[in-house]
Amino acid sequence: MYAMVHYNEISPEGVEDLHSEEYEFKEDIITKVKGVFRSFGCRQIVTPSLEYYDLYNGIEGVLPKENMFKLIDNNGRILVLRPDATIPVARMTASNYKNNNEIMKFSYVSNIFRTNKTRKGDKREFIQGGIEYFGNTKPDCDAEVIAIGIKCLLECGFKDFHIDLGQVEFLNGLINEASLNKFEKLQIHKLIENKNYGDLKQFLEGTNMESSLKERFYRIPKLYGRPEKVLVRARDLVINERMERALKNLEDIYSILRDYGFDKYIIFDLGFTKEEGYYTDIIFKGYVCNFGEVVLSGGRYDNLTKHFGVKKAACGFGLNINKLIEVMKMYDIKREENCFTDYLVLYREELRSSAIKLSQSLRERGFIVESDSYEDNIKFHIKNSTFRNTREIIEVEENFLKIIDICKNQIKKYSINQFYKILDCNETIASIH
Amino acid sequence: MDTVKIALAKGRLAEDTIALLKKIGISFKEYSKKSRKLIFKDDTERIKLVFVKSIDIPTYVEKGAVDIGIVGKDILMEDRADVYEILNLNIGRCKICVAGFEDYDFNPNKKLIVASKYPNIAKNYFNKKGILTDVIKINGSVELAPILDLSDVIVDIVETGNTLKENGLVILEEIHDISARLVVNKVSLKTKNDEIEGLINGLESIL
Repeated sequence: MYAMVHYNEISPEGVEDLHSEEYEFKEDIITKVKGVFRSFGCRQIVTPSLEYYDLYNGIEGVLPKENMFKLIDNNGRILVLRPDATIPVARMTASNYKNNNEIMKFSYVSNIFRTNKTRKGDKREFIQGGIEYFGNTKPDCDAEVIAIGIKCLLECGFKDFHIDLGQVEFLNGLINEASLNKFEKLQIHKLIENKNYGDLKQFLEGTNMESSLKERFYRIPKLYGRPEKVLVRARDLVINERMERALKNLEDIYSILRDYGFDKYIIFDLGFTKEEGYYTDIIFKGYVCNFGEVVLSGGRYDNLTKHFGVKKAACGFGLNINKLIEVMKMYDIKREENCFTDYLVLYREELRSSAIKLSQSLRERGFIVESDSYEDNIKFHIKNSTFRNTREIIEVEENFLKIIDICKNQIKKYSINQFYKILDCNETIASIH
Repeated sequence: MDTVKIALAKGRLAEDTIALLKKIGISFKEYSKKSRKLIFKDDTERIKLVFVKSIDIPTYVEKGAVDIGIVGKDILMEDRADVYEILNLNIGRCKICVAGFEDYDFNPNKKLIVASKYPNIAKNYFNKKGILTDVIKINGSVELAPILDLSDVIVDIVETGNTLKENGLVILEEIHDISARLVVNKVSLKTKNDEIEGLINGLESIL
């Protein structure tokens, strides 16, 4: 006999067990999402759960180093548990398809590991599903990537959601006009990103920029809302070709999304930016109404594969599947009950052979069947069937079958042949799960 | 219309905020200082005030449990949250300072021991100055730490300086000006835009 080990905490923070119903729910969402990916021609791939720490360390501003789970390899090199999905896919594409100039569309559903702040309720292991589209610089590609994201949210049953769309080049173009040092650039990015109007004003007053430039910076965080309105207001701020191009790009993408019929989900936010990170043009995030966290995020990252020796234009996004599940629960989006058993076949020792034959032939017809021996104690099995969500119990007798319908509380007797006949008549209905 | 939830911490800042809101026509008749209730609705039932501990406000806002929070810059500096820090309300003004005995003499050969309710702010400040420190997290009556020789100096918010003076301490260095900020959940700003923007514009116009 082993002594039971007592732990104060049974499992580490931020990770969880998934039980049958929950698991089926999750699988169901993943199947839907994968179906959308496939319908747009994205081919599924998987990268290893372990990567070299150096892979992430060389790329600035992806995520803080202290947020990665690290392990030491036997040869002393540091490994990380996949803290992000995009970088490994870019690495894979760059190293395996070095000389390809063709278009490539990849999809993945992977577990991501992050040592998030403790005691904040953030998951440290979560599932992300997403796509990465390589080799296409056209706005059509950006719009398609966003459309795939929207389709996924629709497919999950959401109606009230937005995609926040920004273009980092718009602000970069403006920053280019001002002579700011590296520290000041970082500061201004941060203030605009956090829509910190108060401190932004103070910061601008402290610089020796022209007042018209100051005014432009001050207006950037307010450039969000319905695309048509934002475009008009943003046009006033354009002072160089770079900003003009950024705006034109957004406009093009938006008009393609209109063809998808998805324009109503789009909100522009030109103050949506990041000083660090790999996005080079559009960036976007998806939000569901009344849910305070991001469920989807992505953008264009044309320079990322450069780190791996080739330059491939790329655009992609990731969906946080765990957050999707949370939102679906919040909105009580109904789903079929997936965990059930059609038949429990009970037999006495001497009738085992024909009972097992019956079970097998029912399984072949597509039913979920469990079987067990019993000795007249049917009560236990009825109770157990309620717990296991079993629909009918079949007691196998010498010349007939006794069928107990658990829900309706009915008992019927059939000969084996009669039973099959009834099954065959109902089969087309019954076997559709 | 969706209700907008605002998180506040009980105390002076709450009084000042409610006064500000009243100026833009949002009043809470039910509210009184002494009430132990934690949730109040405004008279039009479109805005809900919830009272939480100030240190928890960034978390409530970041997670979207509330849409807006009114919280001191000190809290935001100590525990960085992913929220929009939209307005400086210019109420609840004070300074975060390094304080200690007037004759305190910095010894460069020894690690500086700092006691504070704000270990991150303290650590960052001294790191930037290139001074090695050990920071001890204290939850209240920080002034006691140098007196009882727990630390060399303290890092704390100073409003009038009276508490320091009465305990024989003085401000040695000022770290940052503090005032109350209006922070907004990044999703709510977009999904409840009309309501929240109305509120922001109203407050901005009277500041």
